[in-house]
Amino acid sequence: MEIPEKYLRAFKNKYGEDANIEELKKIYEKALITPGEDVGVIAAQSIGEASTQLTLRTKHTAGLTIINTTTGLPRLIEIFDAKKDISTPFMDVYLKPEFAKSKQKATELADSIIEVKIGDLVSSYDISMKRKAIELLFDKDALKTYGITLRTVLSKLEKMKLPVHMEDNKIVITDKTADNVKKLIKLRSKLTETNLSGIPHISRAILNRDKEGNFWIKTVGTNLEAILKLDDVDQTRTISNDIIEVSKVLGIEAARNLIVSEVYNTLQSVGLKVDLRHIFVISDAMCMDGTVKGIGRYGLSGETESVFARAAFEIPLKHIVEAGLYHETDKFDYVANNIMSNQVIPVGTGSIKLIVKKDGTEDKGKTKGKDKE
Amino acid sequence: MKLDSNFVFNKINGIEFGLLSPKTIQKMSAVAVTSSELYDIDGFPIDGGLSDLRMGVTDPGLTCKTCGNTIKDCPGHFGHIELARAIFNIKMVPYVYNVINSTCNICGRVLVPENTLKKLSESIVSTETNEGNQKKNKLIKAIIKHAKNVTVCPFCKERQQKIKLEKPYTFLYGNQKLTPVDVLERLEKIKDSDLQFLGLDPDHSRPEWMVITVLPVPPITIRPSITLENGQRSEDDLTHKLTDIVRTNQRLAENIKSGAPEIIIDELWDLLQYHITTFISNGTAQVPIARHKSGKKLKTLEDRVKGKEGRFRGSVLGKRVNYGARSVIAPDSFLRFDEVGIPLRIAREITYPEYVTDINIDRLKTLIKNYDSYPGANYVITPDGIKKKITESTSTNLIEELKQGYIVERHLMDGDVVLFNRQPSLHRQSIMGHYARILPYNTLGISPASTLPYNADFDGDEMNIHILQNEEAIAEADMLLNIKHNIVSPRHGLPLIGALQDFISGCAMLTSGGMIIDKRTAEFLLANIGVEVPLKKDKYTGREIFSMLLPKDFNFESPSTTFNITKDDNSYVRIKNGKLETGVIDSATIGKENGSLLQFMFVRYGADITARFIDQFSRLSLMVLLKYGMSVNISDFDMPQAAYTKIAETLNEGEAEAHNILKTYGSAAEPQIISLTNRLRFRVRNVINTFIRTKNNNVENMMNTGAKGSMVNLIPTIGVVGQSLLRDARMTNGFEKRITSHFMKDDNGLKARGFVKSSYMAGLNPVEYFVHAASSREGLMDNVIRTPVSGYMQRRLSTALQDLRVAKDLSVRLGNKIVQFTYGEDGIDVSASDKGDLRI
Repeated sequence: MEIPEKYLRAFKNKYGEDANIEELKKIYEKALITPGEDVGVIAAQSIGEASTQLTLRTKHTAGLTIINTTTGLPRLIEIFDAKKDISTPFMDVYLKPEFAKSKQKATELADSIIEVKIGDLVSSYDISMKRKAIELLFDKDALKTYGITLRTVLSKLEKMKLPVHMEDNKIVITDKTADNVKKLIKLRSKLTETNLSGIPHISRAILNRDKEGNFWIKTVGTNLEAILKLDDVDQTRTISNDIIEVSKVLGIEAARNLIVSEVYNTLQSVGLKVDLRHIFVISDAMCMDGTVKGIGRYGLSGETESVFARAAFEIPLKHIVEAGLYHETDKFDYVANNIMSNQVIPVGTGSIKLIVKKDGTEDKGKTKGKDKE
Repeated sequence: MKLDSNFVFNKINGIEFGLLSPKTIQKMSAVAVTSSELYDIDGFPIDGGLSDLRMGVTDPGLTCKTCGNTIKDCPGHFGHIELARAIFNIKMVPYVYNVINSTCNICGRVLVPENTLKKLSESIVSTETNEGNQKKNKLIKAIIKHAKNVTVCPFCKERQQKIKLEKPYTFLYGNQKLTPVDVLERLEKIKDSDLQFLGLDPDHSRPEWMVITVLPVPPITIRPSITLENGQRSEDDLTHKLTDIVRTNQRLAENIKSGAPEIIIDELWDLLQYHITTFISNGTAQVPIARHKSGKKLKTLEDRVKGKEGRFRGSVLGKRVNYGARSVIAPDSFLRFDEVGIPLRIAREITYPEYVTDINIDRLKTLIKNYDSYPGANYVITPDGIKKKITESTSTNLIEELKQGYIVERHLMDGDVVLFNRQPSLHRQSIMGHYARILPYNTLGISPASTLPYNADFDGDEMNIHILQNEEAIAEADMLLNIKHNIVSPRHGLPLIGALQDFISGCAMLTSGGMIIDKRTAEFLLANIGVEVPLKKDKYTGREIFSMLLPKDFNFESPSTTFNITKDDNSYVRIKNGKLETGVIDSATIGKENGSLLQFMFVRYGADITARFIDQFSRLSLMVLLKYGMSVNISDFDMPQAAYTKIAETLNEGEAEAHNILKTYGSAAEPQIISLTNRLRFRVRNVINTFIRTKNNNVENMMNTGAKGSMVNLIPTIGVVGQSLLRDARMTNGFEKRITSHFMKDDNGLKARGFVKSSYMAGLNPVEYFVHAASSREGLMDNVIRTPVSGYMQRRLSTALQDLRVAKDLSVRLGNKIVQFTYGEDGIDVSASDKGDLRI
């Protein structure tokens, strides 16, 4: 094995550029992992054993203002399940270095990304069955604080191709096809969710300042794709905590790194020490074939080639029935099925084969490395 | 026992799965079951009944009519029932639904155009060979999903009407109900060449085999009947269900034959469907659960297989073992950490089978002679495999008979490698190899130094031992599983084995710098730890004595816990060429889950030297404490009156502050108040710090060296317990607008919402005691809920990752797929590293 740059550098920094590398090589080779080691189980146990000490409490405050973020065991499970809708999505939005120190710029950005929906501005709805219409009465103060005029609301609704007109300070939307109240109620909930300004899904944006005086914004809700398109945002550092979203926007490698950092930080925040290498193994396995897969029944555990390994994990009958239907073959090259049949498992000491001829002499040549016939 | 029979020459290379065709079922059947009666008047199994002797025997004395073996050797044989009408297999219903919906209602072809089929055929084969079964199944599912929604058959141009599935097993074609016979007809029409697009295989899974026409009857050996004490027979749940099936089937057949009205036949048909469904899976949604007369649920086929106690997880992946023992554990500081104290009674009961050789024959003969005392032997196994108990009458004969090739099952002896385990087995350090040490107690003894990896304490914990039964297992246990090879954890690269409590106090006392030891005492200390050095000087320092434990070329530098707190340079650990020059040896260097010195020694000098070092310093520190004494008095916790006044003042100020906050912030005050309570605790901490730090007593020593206790424990003991939180918030409710009746309504002050002003030493008043208990209870509940949640997570992680392994080129692989090109990006084993790094 070649010595990684990291250690080479550290060694040279300590003993000078022309120090004897052999010494380092000795240290490095002594520390190398043994081939055959079942690193997956070690990783699973390292994280699993540590997680028994995690709290179940989810709420945690972050930043200067109070935001609830899921931490501890629930967050860990959420990450390993590769959940699509995480319970507390947020983003850390950084400004480009040239604006990072400007409070004005940061405040502007924070204000502009918060999503304003029609529902935030309306003070009352009136559903009139007689006119087959919804009347929206707007809150003047709210309009002022968000800097939105009725005109813009109107044009927005017109763009959605809704029959809309203004009466005094009300906006009236008529739907002639509506034959019952349900339809109008459905239309109303669609209206309240209509985006007027800002970026969809972002409900709050909180300004923060790091030690160097650079401003950054923590948002509640994520929309990484839209945020990254903004000019003032530093695309290289801005990140969301939604793994699936990151894998879609930034790709699988980014998602893999996000899993690593999220798991590491979750464990770190309660003072549990788990080596990064174990987290690497899990996140690499999760991202192995280009999409983020959870570890559970519908992810890695449910997708092994071995029928018996799957059956042993959960819902055995389903797996056996499908194996029969699809004429599958269990090749017995996994751990679980070899344990079942009392055979040597293909990891650890079981992955080493020793070949000796029946008369006790060493077998040289053709059968080397192969199974005894 | 012949030597060869110990070796397995055949290995399972694979198991193929498929459906059983009715023909195969008939072929493998030993008997057609036709009678629902089990026994005749004499209690003898009826021919053609469900206990037919052709299906195997479960009673001693009878012989199987198929294989001629008795109960011991008869494996059991399948029978079969010819069903009067076809029946759906409940587990196949969703797949039947897929198949009949993706094929034409009229001509039975797959609803995909001819030219597409050709392309698909190729891609199915290529996906299977290149990407495996799982990917192929996904492709099949996509084809079925597509074909289901086709409205016109591309072959016969017939319009397709979708068949609806009404759970659990009713198929509707428009308004017409499709019986299993109708479905069977449709399935038979599907061409062999079309099957590949449905994932089926003409030789191994024809679609019509999904519908049951012939029901296999499991052998009696898997459903044995038991004879109760009063001579009555009690049948297995499966037999009960099978009698129902046979009886209903008989009645159905008779009614069809006699031309009974449709309604009666349909009713019986439905009943038969119900019985067969519950026979396979008793607990399907919308199917009533089949019960005993007593109301207990019948355990049928699926129940036997699934779940934790089912066949897979309960019988085949893990099973009960022999040669194990379990007892309460007790601490024994005089055991080495890699030993386990085993009660004599256990040692005489569980044995190790030792092969007789030229070298050990005399020893084994003495053991046989001593069969009724310890150490002795219990059994002798001859080369023919006959096991003979050693008794007064047999012992002399056996000693004479004994020669090479015999096996003697001798008692467990000192130095045998045994496995030692404590549940829950959360990581691999929960089961490790220890050397046996036979002791005259009734508990398993364990050194306190090795409790951490097992997470054991001595409040009644029990642990298990397993005695290994062959040389190969012993070699593996000794070279890989032995506790001394697992000193450093692969989780974080820190030692799991190390000093705790008294061991740290003793070492710290010895190495604190001030200790001068005369020659006699030094002799006493060193003799007790087995260090043999000629003592030339009259007086030794404690550090000199400690240095004698270190390897001669040992060089090491690290801050100690004491240094981290006091910043006294004299307590910074510096070891040059095996000499401790400065520094206090305490928890930072030799403590468990901490000790940097142990970790360094393990990586550089190996397991044996580290193991000896741990044992020696443990014993040494006990001897130091024995010689010099160490005790703690309640008055060691006392502070001057000024301190108590200061604390009381601080808390009173705090109450006033809280009052102000409530006034200014109103309803939004909560976060401010919580942060105030934290500040108050911190202020009290500072008060305690200034007073207690000057005392220089053993309580402070224990805190400074990391032996036991910290400020976190001290603050509530002598200062203030502080705010009791419930769900991360101050307590509310209980009574209307207040927590107890001791307060006014809407009082939001500190005390009224669960702030405990007292300390443990001063004592808590009843209200304080109550709120304190409330938040303790929350912690207990949290713990109870958390355990199964994290347990399930770990099970999922383990099953997902258990097949990953490091290949010869240090890449991580899952089967033939590469997960990482180099393990952990640098190929370093955490347990051989310096906390994940290299110490250069």
